[in-house]
Amino acid sequence: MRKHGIERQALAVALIPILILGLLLESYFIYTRISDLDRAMFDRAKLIVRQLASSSEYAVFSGNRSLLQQQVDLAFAQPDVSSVIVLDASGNYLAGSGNSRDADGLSPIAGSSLQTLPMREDSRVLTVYQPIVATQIELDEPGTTSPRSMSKPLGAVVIVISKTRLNSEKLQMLVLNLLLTLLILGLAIVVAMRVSRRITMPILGMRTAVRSIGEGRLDTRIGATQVQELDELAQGINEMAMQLQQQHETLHQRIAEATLELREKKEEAEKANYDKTRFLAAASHDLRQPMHALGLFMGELHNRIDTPEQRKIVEKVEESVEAMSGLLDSLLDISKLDAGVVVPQEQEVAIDDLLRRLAEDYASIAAKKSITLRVHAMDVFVMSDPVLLERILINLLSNAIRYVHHNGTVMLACRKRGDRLRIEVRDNGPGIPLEEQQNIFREFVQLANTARDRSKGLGLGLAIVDRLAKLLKHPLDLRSAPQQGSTFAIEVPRVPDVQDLLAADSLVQPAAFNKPDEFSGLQVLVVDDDALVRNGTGGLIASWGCQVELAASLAEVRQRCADNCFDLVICDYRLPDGTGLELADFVHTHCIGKPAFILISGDTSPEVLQQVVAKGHHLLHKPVRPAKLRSMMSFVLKNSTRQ
Amino acid sequence: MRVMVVLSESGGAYQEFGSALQSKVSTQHSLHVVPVGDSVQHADLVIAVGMKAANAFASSAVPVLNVFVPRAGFETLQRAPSHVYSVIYMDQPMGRQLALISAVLPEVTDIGVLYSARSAELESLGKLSSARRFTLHEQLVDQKHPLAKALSDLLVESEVLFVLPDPAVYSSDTIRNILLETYRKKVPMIGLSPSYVRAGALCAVYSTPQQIAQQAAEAIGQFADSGKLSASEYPREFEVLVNTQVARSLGLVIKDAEQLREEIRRKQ
Repeated sequence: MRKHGIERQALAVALIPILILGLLLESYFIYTRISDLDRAMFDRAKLIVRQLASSSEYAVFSGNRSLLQQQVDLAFAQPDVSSVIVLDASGNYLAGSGNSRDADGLSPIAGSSLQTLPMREDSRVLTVYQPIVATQIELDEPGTTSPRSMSKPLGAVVIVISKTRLNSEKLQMLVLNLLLTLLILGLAIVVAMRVSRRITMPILGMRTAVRSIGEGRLDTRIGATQVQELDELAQGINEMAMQLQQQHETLHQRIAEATLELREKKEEAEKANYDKTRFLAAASHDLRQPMHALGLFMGELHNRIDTPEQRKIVEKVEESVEAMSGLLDSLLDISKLDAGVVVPQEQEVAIDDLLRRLAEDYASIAAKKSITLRVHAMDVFVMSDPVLLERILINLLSNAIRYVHHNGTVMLACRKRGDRLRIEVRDNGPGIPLEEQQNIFREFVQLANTARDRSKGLGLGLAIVDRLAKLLKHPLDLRSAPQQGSTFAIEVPRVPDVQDLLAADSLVQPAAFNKPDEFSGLQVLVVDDDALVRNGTGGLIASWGCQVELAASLAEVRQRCADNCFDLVICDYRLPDGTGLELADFVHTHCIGKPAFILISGDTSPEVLQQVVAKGHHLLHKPVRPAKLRSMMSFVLKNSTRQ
Repeated sequence: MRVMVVLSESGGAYQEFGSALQSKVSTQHSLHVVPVGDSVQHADLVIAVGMKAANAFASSAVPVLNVFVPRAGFETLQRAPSHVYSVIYMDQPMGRQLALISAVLPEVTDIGVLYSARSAELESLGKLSSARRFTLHEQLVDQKHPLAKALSDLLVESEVLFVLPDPAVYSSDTIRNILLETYRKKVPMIGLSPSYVRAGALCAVYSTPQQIAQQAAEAIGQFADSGKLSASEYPREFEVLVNTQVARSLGLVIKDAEQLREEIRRKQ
């Protein structure tokens, strides 16, 4: 079923009954009117014919034709009478007026009946027949037995009535009725539209208003109507809209408040983060700078000391500096890790080299505690960040050495586990109770160090290990029991085509600390704005047998060293008139035979790291220990010679 | 004596006659009024009232006194030769009729009559009228002479239309148009009975049922005394009825009915 609008439906409701009623009444009225007209005409015809029959009785009886003609003419003068004929008892024509042809074919009927009867009726004419019967006068003569009511008609009157006027009257009436019906219908339509509009217009208005409210214009309101129920409805909609508006406003306000609060919180957090970053930056820069210089000086001093006593003192100082540097490193590392600024730089790492280097680095410390340090390395490459992985292993190894008893054993081993390599640091130390196994990865938790002996570290080592393992997505595993020793293990993805690299790998030997002639005659440019650091670095490298040039700024390099060629450039990232990267570009464009490049930075921000890596340079974070600098130097030099 | 009164029809003039007769007949005679067709018990005399009763007792062994029968009608009945009867005719004697005409219209001489068949009345009327210096115009009505034409012709020469009892001419159907025609020709009609006068005739002589009953009672008395019925006769007593409205319309001055009756008695 089709759906119609409310306006049309209201109109239909109003009009259909009126239409039906009107049509019924009209048809009834027309029917009765037409039958009335017909009957009136027939009655009139009967009246005329009877009157003529009665009045012409004597004239017919006496055969007085002139009298008869007069009477016929009188009847003929009546309106609508088309013709009048008077016949005698045998059906012979006596008198007549009008169309004489109407008399044709009437004689057979004449005399057959005493009743008035319509002979013929068509749409044009009505013919009525009336016999002329003598008026009866009672003669109650005894003995005169006259047969009564057997009287023969004297003759007959036939009258033909034209229906022309009747038909035109009927037509006129029909037309008039039709016009009247149309007029009433039109009036009804106008009235119905007027009345229904009083209902439909407000409803349509409400529809528009509700739609508008639905579209979010909550300030839409509906005006008053002329219908009480609709008024109530409009009022209801208005109230609804008002409440919606209020709630909407309240909601808006709350959202605004919450947003403001959130923004404040966010700003606070950002500020805190910023403060932390600033602290980190300041700490790394301001603390590292002197630490860096101290370390370098200590390196140089170590080389220049002659007497065993002095050497002993220097060694003590060196140990202290080492410890302090380590502590600072740990603190900053954990801060960096927490701040999420450390981005792992995954690359292929030769695990064999790494483990051997670690073993070498810790051999002396282990020897001091009479600890047997064993290494079971494998000739395997893994995918990991070399620095961070080394850091994990250093921490685990130093921890193991720290906690193992005298004459204990620490083992650094690895084994293949599918496409992974499991690197284990085992000891036969006191072991870790099961309930403590989770706690030890938290910051500043140290088992068996309730006195907080500084020589036993800060308790950050395993916390850093845990964070780094998570960052690198290397699963960390601990198996331990009291008096049974501990096994820390880390699983690292293995590089499968390790065999191809074996030949090249044989060339890459880790720079040995005890090979003083390795760097002899090497042309090295050290650029640092800090004179202390510049001189320290320069002195250390010179003590390794290098030819050192020093510069404080980019401009100085451009001025002084533009024509010189270097094998290696060690440069601070942050220079007074530019960055180490700009210097690297300058050196690369001006020097023949592309020198190796090491950037040293006190800045731990990931942006710097990314920029450096993108350029293909190597970055060391301050403070840089001499051993680290040396191994980096040998690494980059080997790379550059390989190229 | 046992008398049976047989009525042709109950009600009307016959009934009136029956009742009047009962009051006038001597109480020594037992009188039984019955309608015609009822079983007739033994009676010494039968009074047959009307043509039907007359017809029913036309061959009766018992003597019959017929009343309320027109002379022309009664004479056509088939009777047994031994039948003993007497009649008091319904018709007025022609002499009395002519006396009425001369009393009502003293100057009139030409009398017109219509007939469909010749009758005894017409014969006696012809004789009487010539005796009394009246000119009688007779006009036959038949197929060749239709009523309208015959009447129209008759009225040209007649001063008065005298009605003879003839149902073929005068009937309920024709009386109105005959009257209309006479008015148009200013010719008065002398009727046969009060109904003619009421219909528009100028006047008529007639006998009431009481007058007939009186005459019949006398006849019964005579039969009881002598054992013989008296001869047939016309009604002795009569009344005159005049339609004054018709008289005025025709511009006639007429004496009142009582005077006319006395004059007729004298002239008869």
